[in-house]
Amino acid sequence: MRIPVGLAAIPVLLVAANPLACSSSSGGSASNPLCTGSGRCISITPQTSETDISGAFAGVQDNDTIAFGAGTYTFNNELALGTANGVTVVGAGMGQTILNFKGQQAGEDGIFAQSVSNLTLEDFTVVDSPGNAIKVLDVTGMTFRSLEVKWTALDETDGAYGLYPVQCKNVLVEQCKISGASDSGIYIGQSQYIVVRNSEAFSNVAGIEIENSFYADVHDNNSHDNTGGILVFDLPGLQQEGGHNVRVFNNQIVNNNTQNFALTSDIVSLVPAGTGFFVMANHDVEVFGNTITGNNTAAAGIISYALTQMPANDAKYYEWPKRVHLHGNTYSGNGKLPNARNKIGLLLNTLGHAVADVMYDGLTDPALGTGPDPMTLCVQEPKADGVCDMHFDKLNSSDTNLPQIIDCNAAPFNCSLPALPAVTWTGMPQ
Amino acid sequence: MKSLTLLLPLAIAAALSGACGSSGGGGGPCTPGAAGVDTSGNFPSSLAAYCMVSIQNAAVTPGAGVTPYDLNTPLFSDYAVKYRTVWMPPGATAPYQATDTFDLPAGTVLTKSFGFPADLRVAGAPVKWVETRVYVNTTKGWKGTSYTWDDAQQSATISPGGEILDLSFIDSTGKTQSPHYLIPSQAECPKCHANEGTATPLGPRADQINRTFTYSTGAENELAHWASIGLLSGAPAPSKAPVLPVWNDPSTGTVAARARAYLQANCSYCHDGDGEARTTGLVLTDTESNQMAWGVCKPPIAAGKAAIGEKYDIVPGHPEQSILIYRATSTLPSIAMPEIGRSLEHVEGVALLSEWVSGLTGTCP
Repeated sequence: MRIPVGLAAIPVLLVAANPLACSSSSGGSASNPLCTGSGRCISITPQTSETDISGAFAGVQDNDTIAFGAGTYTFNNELALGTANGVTVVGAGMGQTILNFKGQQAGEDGIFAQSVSNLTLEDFTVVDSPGNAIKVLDVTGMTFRSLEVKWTALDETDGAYGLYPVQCKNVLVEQCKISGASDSGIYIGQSQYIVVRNSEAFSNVAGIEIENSFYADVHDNNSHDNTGGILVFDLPGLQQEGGHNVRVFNNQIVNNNTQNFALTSDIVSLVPAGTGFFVMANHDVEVFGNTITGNNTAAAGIISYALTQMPANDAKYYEWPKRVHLHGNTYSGNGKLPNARNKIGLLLNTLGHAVADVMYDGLTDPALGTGPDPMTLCVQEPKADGVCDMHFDKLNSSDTNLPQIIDCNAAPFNCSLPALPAVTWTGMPQ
Repeated sequence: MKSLTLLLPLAIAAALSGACGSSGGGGGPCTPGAAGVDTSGNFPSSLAAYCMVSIQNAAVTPGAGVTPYDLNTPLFSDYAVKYRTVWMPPGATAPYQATDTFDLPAGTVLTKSFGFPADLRVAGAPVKWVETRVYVNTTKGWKGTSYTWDDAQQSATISPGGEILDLSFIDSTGKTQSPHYLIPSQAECPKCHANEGTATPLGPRADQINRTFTYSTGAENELAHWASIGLLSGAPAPSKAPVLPVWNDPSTGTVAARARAYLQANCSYCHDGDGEARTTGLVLTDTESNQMAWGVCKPPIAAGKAAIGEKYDIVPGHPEQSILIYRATSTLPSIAMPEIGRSLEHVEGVALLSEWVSGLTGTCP
């Protein structure tokens, strides 16, 4: 067996050349079915010590595969990946290879990687990391495939983010299953070129969040039984702002009525239980073909950052939603019981009746005038009263006049916008 | 098909050219880089191969031509005592600069040794050295690894994957402290040292080494010493160079100045424009002038549960409502800041930060 120079001084895990790629290995390296990459393959079993697993992660070279056999692995430190491109970390399958971080004593993330390209994580489960499960920063070509992340307490002691790519490019999330996050199950932050598809998010505060990001397709996911199903928004004070070109289509957004268990002050703690979808402070967002069912506060919201009543203090930040196009979605059984623990839900409760499918806060950019639809918000859904403009701009100081100012009439929003292009990138897995 | 099983503990000797002949600590004199330090980015299995430091009579002792240094305000690491050294290839020098880390030349080797006295109340108590981290300016950029010392304090062996050690010592108040002390994996080095993918040292800055050090030849300003032995070129007199306040020495600055220096040393390597926490909008350099950027009335962005139900990173006059103070105090891995390297509360550091926040004026919405 050839031991690469970089590992020469390390207590070495078995490093086998991929038998499909080359046949240079000798010395008893049986082939591992998980080793399908072009480079070296480092096999890990439940008998491997944590320090050796960490050493293997630290010593990765370009195009390596790290293959975890079936079984449960426990960690007391975060698992940080070294700087190499084209690395794959693969397990024997969701529920088969289980990385358990319950006893973690150091690090805010279970798995962490930064500043590499073409990283693939697939076919394993991460449970009960005290902080975030998997965080990756500044990765170009990030694939999360067939990963399960779960927390089991379902309270604010659960970790914050399940999948947490931030400032990444070319991010693919597919066939993942994320539950129990006290912030967001699938969180995409300050990234560009994103596809989230065929995944399931449930029992999180936010199921899927697209935050301060450009060019995202979120489709064919099932986001159910969270506090909020799919949230697209932009926050001030960050390096990448002005979220835009986001398409949310063909998703199931169902029964997102879980009580909000985020700590107050965490931004998602403001989300009322019973929220299907909302867009806040993004422009060019297209939402179509979704089935939005049984979300008790509202099916869909179109809102401004001002609604958070938090300071922005950021001259380059744009707080209003603009050019948002909802069409061809299927709504049923939403808005029946707005969540009274939340201020907005409480306001809606004062109406004494079910609200419309689409709720708009009515806050507008003063620079765009006071026309009927200055923000170009287009809702092409069948119901004539399917949009309620809550006119929070006219809310009195005691919040008591909502029944008088709310205007449930879809007519001002009867416009269309050109379809946004599909998101793709060179080398995107099909 | 049969799955592979692993862990062949292969004891492969490090083929480091230029390794000195003497064994581990306590050996005879050995000269660093006699045949050149390996700057390929690979690491020898034994620290001794570098000849940078050894342990003599419980004291870390520099090798020939290796310069020890100290910092005005260091990173807190579970109350570990630290011993730092710098070595540059013969003839190499770093150009002086007033701000940021010096641009140390190719082949530079920094070491930082971490140890614990059994009882912090006993002056001069022997130190049990735990690890020595080595940081080398290689042809692939700065690369680091840790070497852990054996119980006999004779030799230190590479630990690429790191580990957490459960240690114990008596602190300055007589209380037993039991840190989960982290020896970082090689892949954790960039968590603090990387700036958008480029790794750099953190300590060797003009304002950090503008201080007096007691060398074997007597006391001297470090900056002046570095200049006199050629490690630095173009350095001004220390009086013309910046000085970072010493966080726990009131004669060196106001509470605010020392608190900002503490944040600079303990937080800003991530919380700046290009460190790992650049995604949060919270900038904790000592030069950041935008109050909201350094936390005043700044809502947390992605703190998740670490926001503890408070609205802002810093609420003037109210350390008890300030997320920054909470995270600097907590020892829970999901909440504690810095993210790694601290498993105990730095009581004195938090006291300084709290005093500073208490004295800030203003109100948040």
